[in-house]
Amino acid sequence: MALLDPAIDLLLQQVATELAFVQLDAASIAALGVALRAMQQHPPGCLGAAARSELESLLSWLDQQPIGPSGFDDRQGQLLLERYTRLEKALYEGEIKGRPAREPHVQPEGEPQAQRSLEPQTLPDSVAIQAPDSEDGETSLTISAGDDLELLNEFCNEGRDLLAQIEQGLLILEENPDHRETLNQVFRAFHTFKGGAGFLGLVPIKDLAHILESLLDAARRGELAIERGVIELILAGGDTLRQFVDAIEQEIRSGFHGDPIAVPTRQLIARVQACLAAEPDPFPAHEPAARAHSPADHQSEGDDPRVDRPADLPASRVDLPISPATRAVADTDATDRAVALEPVADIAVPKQAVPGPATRPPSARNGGEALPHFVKIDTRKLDDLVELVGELVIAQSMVVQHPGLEPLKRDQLARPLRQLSRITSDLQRNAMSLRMVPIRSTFQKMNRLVRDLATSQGKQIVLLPSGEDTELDRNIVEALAEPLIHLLRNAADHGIGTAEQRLALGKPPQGTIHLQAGYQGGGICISIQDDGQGIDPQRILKRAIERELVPADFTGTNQDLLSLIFLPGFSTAEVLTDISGRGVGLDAVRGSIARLRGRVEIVSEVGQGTTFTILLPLTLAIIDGMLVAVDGQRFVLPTLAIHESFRPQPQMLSTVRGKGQLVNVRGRLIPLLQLSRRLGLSQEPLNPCEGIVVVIDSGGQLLGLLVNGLIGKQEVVIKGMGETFEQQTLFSGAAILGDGQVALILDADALGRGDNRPGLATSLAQPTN
Amino acid sequence: MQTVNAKEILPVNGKYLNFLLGQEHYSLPLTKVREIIRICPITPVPRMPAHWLGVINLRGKILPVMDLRQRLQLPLAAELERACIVVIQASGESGLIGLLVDVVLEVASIAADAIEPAPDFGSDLDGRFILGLAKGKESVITVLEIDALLSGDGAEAIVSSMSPIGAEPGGP
Repeated sequence: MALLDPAIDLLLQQVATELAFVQLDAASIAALGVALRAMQQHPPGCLGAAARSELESLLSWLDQQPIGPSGFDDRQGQLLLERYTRLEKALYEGEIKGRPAREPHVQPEGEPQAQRSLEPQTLPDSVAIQAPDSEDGETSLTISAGDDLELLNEFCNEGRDLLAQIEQGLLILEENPDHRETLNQVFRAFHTFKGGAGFLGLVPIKDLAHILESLLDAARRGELAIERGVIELILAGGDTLRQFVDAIEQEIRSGFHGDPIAVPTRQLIARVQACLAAEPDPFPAHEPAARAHSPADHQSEGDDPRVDRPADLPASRVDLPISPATRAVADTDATDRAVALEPVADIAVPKQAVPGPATRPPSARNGGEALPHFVKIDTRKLDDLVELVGELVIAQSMVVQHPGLEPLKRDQLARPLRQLSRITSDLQRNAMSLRMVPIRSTFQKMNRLVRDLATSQGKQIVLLPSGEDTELDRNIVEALAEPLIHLLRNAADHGIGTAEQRLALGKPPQGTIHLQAGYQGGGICISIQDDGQGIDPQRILKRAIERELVPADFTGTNQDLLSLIFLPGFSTAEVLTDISGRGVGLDAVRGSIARLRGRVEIVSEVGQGTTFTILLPLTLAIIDGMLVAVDGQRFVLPTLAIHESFRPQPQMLSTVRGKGQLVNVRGRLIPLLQLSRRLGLSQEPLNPCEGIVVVIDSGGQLLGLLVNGLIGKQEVVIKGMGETFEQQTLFSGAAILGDGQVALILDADALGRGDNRPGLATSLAQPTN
Repeated sequence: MQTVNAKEILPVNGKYLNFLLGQEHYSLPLTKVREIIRICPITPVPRMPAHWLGVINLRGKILPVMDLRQRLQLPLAAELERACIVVIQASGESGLIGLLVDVVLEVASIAADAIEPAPDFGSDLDGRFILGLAKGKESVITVLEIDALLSGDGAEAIVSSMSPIGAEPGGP
């Protein structure tokens, strides 16, 4: 089935994962380099000369690229993608050329989909491989402002949902290829997608969706066995479609630059066609059946003639071009059908529920039976509403607590006021819930990621998600994907070993990652637990000392040592190749979580596994705050950042030269920060024994803040401070307190970036917002 | 020092809000003024230039407040009994900004040709904030340029922003 040498195919897949899945950070680039080099090591027979030269040019280009702090910028990413596309093309074309028997099947079929690409290829012995520009071989898509913006946007939104459904369905099919309901569902999703694309005249998208749909249709009719290669192919197709959707969305956002959107589809289409065409060969009995089928199935009426036609063409007739008229007919046909079938697809949705509950809950959920109950609302409207309700809550408490009402409260006013309070808090809860979405969709993406990672590394890893119904603020869910990908990648790359390694340790060959979400305290807790080899705290310490992140005499509990893994500069690309090492960009993870006003913790047992725990607030709009008094002013500290608070005894304090004051908390020495001085409110140090020490998590390290006193816990609505105060970094926002006055919200991470911690000051000094 | 031809950028309708800083008369184009509120407790924002007094709660919105006296490098006000915050619409993204003034006087019409371009103040800092000078009934009115007031030049010393005004609860 596979067109390519399986080893190359696997590597390509790995490269594609790196390219497509996450932003190209330093780790991804390093992984990419490793995969490409591995490809280069292959015996000469596996790679055509053209592919090899492409590969070498890509590698040498990659070596020369400067890698910024956040990896490649957009331009570099674009260039990389272009080069990679050329390589991929060269690889496939080299392969196709090497197997002339397949050529007739592959190439004419490419015609309707990628018209422009055909000419060089149909010429015998022409070397299309050398085409300098990937665009040459690809149809591209240009969107202009004249296109219906609303519809395009709608298509992108819906398309994304459909693609997620498809992906999820495929993962189910992979385990259970005979699950008809899922198969139908995936087919219908592609069909709806194609319908939308056709309706909007997005021809390359429609064509790709169409050919993938044909593949599924063949499977649906039992002509094609759903096996790994097929799933792989469809997944790749889904990814490509998603690239299109992303590109369109970007075009909409950027206000229509008119840049053509070119996503390489040709290889993919060729692969699918090869898959479709090659399959009947070993089972000739199926071939007539396929053709006999086509008129009967109204949904694929238009598809099958095109798909099957080349299969029964004798090889000698290949060079005959399909007449433009035929092509036009085929295209119009497809478009018309797509438009006509759009409503059909809609009607098909309720039908899904009829065959009874699907055996697997994810597919039942993806079925979309709940869809008609949703209303799409502009998120800005939602945010405004939530903010207004927040104001209402504050105003309500101002009224209720107003001293002028005290005498009246005893009489008739007490009851109405209580009622007002109750309704207000109900309203607030309701408004908040509008922004909440289940974390399910993010978890689903992770399923796919782990699967790809395991495949590419030849490991057996199963991801067990739970608590997918846990609801979080929409914005948090979106921002959470990246750190989760990082952590899972980490677990799959470094935590879990190969089956042999695991067996040697007396563990089951299959590694398990538990991905769990749930409510905890006033927030959300997400944990990623692997049963891999764990992390040795002493190794972490050793590396941290090597990298001069901590002084050579640094000591601490195992927990302290493990936490060093989050320090910026701890991990570099070279850790990636070090199998026993861990910590790919964990400071980036910590940073993303901190931006969401959460924190991340690590627990690890050597030989047993590692657990990362992410603690997040329920919403970004409101935080649980601790009101502290500093020099007569009030400030809000996010409760999530606070570990404990106490009034220190004199014997707990010590002063270390060059390090400032330290406070000893049950044997741990924590640096003490005079908050008043840090904020520039007063230069007079406060005697710690007269104040309160609040221990916070600041940039992954504990920090004792010395304040004059604690005022109390309070939920506050976070407000931006506007452009005027953009330059300040100490505050993440402002809040209006019950008395109508403003209090500033301290940014726990920023407080630690003082000059009192020279080792961390420079590396931590990235903006938090 | 930018040389501005005042007549070119003056608002058409010629309405101005006159106010006092100490004994001196100042004026702002009325088209930029959104509202005038009485002074209320201001929450200082640490580590900001001294002329940024802090923020107040304007009906649920966070409003930055600038001390116009400090911005113009005038001595601090002795009493704030009649002090007001003039809420202005800044151009660009900044949105609404509050300016603390001593006393709001009146809305007056000033004919465009009654405004003289500001004389060259040499290297004096204040020069760039001044759009022009107008002859009032009893004194010369300095017409201020809002955008220049708000354009921060990072060179200002960042000092502890504690000022007597911020801590003092004014108004009812």
